[in-house]
Amino acid sequence: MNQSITPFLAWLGTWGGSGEAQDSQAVRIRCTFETVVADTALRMAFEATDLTGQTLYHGVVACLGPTPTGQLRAVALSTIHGNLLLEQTPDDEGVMALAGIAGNGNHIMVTFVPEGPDRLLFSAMWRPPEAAPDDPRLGRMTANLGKLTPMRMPPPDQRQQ
Amino acid sequence: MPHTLRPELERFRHWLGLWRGPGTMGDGTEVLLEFSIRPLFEGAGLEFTSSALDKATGANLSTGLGFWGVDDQGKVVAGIYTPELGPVQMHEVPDDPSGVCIEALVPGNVRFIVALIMEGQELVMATRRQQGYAGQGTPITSGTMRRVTPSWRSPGVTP
Repeated sequence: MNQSITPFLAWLGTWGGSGEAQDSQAVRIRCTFETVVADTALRMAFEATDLTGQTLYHGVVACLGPTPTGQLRAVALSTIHGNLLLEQTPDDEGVMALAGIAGNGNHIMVTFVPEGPDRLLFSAMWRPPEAAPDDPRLGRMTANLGKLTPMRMPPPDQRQQ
Repeated sequence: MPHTLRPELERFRHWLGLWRGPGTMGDGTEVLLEFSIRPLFEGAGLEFTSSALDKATGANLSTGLGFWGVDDQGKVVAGIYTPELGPVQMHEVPDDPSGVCIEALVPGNVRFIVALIMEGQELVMATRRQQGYAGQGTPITSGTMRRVTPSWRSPGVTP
């Protein structure tokens, strides 16, 4: 197993939650992490939808892995930004912080911050290259995610009739 | 139900699925090549995986994964990951319109080139490295694959 994705292996599985995008738009998030390519990289599939789950606001797939010189980098495809190449940026230990510039020029920043064993705080921000910090075209999204675990049925003798 | 694909990716519709066939690695090792490609997000992009498998044991000798999108010119942009290269972005270069050729400049002034082309019912794949701009190309893998088809769809073939 490559060391550089090791801090994130505790996140393997599917995460879900809700949050908001710009203009206080409510969003529902589903995000799955899995190892790929002989366990050397992490694939992330991310969906932000409306609360029914039927309208996709933003979909992203990404593959995060080490470069030959040891940096962590991700290639990704976004339904908003197109193809992306994101670099890991310095942050606290255990935080996945990625940033890059899309082919359309948008600046993109994404972070996943662990907040307990089964909680992740997700945030993302993007802006067109010429946009000021208060530009209405600024995009953002934040969400609290919980690890989805299979429902466990109680033993038959403990089920309520 | 047919897949939806964005117009610029329609030319790859007949590639969707799983392909396998004999191949050769750069050192002459004979392998089984495997290539799969499927739509992402209702055809906004494509995801592919590619592997070279040991013919005897099925062990993975080389493998990679990537996502195909398009740039504002309608050309393929591929974000790929292999353990040897790490994550890199590749761009389509002019080639035979029945196929696609993508390349990236990677550290060491090395060009990494992937070409895929249909020849009849077969998908031909070749990957190579080229040192510098005029250097001699070194093959990494090459081979010819056919679509993996369930036996019940192959007339005359009984399991």
